[in-house]
Amino acid sequence: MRKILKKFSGLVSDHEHTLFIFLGTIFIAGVTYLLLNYTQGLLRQRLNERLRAIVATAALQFDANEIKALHEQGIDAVGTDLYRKNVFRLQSIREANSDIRYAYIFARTDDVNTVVYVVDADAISIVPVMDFNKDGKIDSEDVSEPGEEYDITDVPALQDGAFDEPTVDEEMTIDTWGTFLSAYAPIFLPDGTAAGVLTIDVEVSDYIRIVGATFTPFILFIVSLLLVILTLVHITVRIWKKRLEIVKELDRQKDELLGLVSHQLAAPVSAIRWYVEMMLDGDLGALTNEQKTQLETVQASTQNLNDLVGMILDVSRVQLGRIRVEKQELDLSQFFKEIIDVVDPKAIEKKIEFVKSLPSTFPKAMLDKRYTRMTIENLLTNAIKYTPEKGKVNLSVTVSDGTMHVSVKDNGYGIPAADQKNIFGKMFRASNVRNGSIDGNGFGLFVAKSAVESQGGKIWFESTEGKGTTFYVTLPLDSNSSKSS
Amino acid sequence: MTSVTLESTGTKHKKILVVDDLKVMADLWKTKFMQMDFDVDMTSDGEEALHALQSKHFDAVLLDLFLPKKNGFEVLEEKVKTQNSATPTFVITGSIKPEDVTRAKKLGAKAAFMKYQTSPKEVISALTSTI
Repeated sequence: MRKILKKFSGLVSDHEHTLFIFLGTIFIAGVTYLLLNYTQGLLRQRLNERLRAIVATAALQFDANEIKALHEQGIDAVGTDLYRKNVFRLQSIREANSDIRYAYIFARTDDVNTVVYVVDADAISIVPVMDFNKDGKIDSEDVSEPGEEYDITDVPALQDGAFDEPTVDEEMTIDTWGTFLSAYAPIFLPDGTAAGVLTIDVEVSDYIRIVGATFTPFILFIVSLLLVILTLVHITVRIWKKRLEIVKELDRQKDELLGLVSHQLAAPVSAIRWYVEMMLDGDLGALTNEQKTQLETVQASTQNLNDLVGMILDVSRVQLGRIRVEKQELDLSQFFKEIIDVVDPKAIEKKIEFVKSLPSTFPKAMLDKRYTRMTIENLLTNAIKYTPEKGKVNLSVTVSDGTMHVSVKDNGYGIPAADQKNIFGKMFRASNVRNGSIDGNGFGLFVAKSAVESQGGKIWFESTEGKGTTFYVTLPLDSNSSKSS
Repeated sequence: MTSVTLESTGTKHKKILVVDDLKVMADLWKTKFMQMDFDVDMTSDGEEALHALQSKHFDAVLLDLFLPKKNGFEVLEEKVKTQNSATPTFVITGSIKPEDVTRAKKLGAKAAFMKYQTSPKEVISALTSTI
C-alpha cells in the first residue's frame, strides 16, 4: 500500500508532470522536424531531377566543336556569326521557360578552381538590357565577356561532376534578383570530353513557396498533437488524483477503524490489567500465595495483550508510511531512568546481569518521547527475553556531535544468519525462538525502525547465533533533522 | 449522577468528579478514591459532566475522551465557562492515538494518560501531587 501511494504521488507531482510534457514536446518536435525534412528533401530531389532534365535537353542543341572554337577564340569571338548563333540559342533556351533567368556556357581551364566564360545569353543585347543594376551605364560586372575567368572555389558542382554529367548545385544562390538554383550539363565532343558546360540559373521562388506551404500543415499538426497530448495528460492526472483521493480516504477510514477497534479493546483490557494490579497490591483484600501466583500469570498475559492493542495503530501507520513524530524537549536522564526502572525488575527476575553505562549529564534533546521510549525499551526487553538466565545485557549510551548513540548488547541466543535480513519486517520472530516459550508479538522492531528513521536516526545490529546480539541506534538530538515521511 | 459522600468526620474531603461511560472503570476509580477518603461524583456522559461542573465545585476532574452526548474534548472546551474553570482535569482515555493526548493537553488538561500505557497508581500519584 505504501508503495502504491508513493507511485500515485510520484505520477501526479507537478515536477514530473512538467518534465513529461517537456520531453513529449521535444519528442514530437523532433519527429515532426524529421518528417518535414524528409518531405522537403523529396521536393528538392524532384526539383533537381527536373532541372537536370531541362539542362541536359538544352545542352543537346549546342555543337561541341563550335563551343570549342569559340573558347579558343576568346574575346575575339565577339561579333562573329558563330558567336551570335550561340548567343541566340542561349536566349531561346532562356525564353522557353520563364523561370530560367540566365543561360551561359563555361569552359575548363588548367586550374581546377577556375573556368572561363565562352558565351552568355546576355552578351549581345541592347544597352538598357545589359545595364542590370539600372545605373545608366554598362558596368564590367554586368557583362561576362568571353574569356573572362570565373573562380569556382565555392561551386562544388562545377568542380566535381558538371563536366561529366548533368548536375545541380547543392546550395541556392540568393542575390538582388532573386533566389536561384544553378543547373549544369556538359556539351560533349565526339571524343567524349566536354567542350563546355551549359549553365542555367533558375528562379526557384515557386519551389520556396511550395516548401513553405508544407511547413504550415506541419506546424498545425504539431500544435494539434500537443493539444491532444496535453488534454490526455490532464485527463490522466485527474484520474490519478481521483484515485489517489480514494486511496487516501480508504487509508483514513482504515486508520479510523483501527483507532476505534483499538480504543474499544484498550479500555476493557486496561480495566482488567488495573483490577489485577489492584488485587495483587492487596487493595481488595489479602490473597493466598496460590491466588497471587495465578493472578501474576493473568497479569503477564494481560500485559502482552495490552502492548499489542497499543501497537495496532502504530503498525498500521508504519505500513501506510504515515508515522507521526512529535518531537518535544526531553530530559534524557529522567527518560533513561524511567526505562531502567521498567527493565531492571525483568533482568532481576531472570537473574541477568544488566550493565548500564550512561553519561553523567545529557545535553538538551528534541525527540519523540513515546516512539523513542518504545524503541529503546523494546531493544532492552528483547535482549532480556532472548538471553538465557544468568546472561548479561549491556546498555551503553554516549552523546557526540549532537547525536545520541545507544547500543544494547546481549550474550543470548543470537539471530540466525538466515533470519537477519527479515529482522525489521512485520511479525518477525527468529526461527530459533519462534517455538519456544518466549512471548512477543513480532511488531516491536518493525515499528522501532520507522520510529528511529522518522526522527532522522539509524538502527542496525550485529548478531552471531549462540553468541549474542548487539543493536545500535543513533538519534540526532536537535530538532531540525526530522525526516518527513 | 451518583454521589458517594463519606460520612463527615470533621475534615474536609477532596471532591473528585469522575467522567467515564465504562462502568467497570468508573467502579475502579470509585473504589480507589473511597479508599483515599475522597468524595467521588460519577457521571457517564459529557452533558451530565458539564451539569455537575456548573452546579458544584470540584478539586479535580478525571475525564474520559470518548463519551456519549458530548465528548471529552467538548467538556474541556466548555468547562472554562463553569465555576470549575480552574479545576485541574486529568484526561484518561482509551484512545491509543498520541494526537488525542496532545489535543487534550492543548485544550487545558493538566495531564493526559492513555489507559493502555498507564496504571491507576500513576494517575493517582499525578492527581495527589496536584491537589
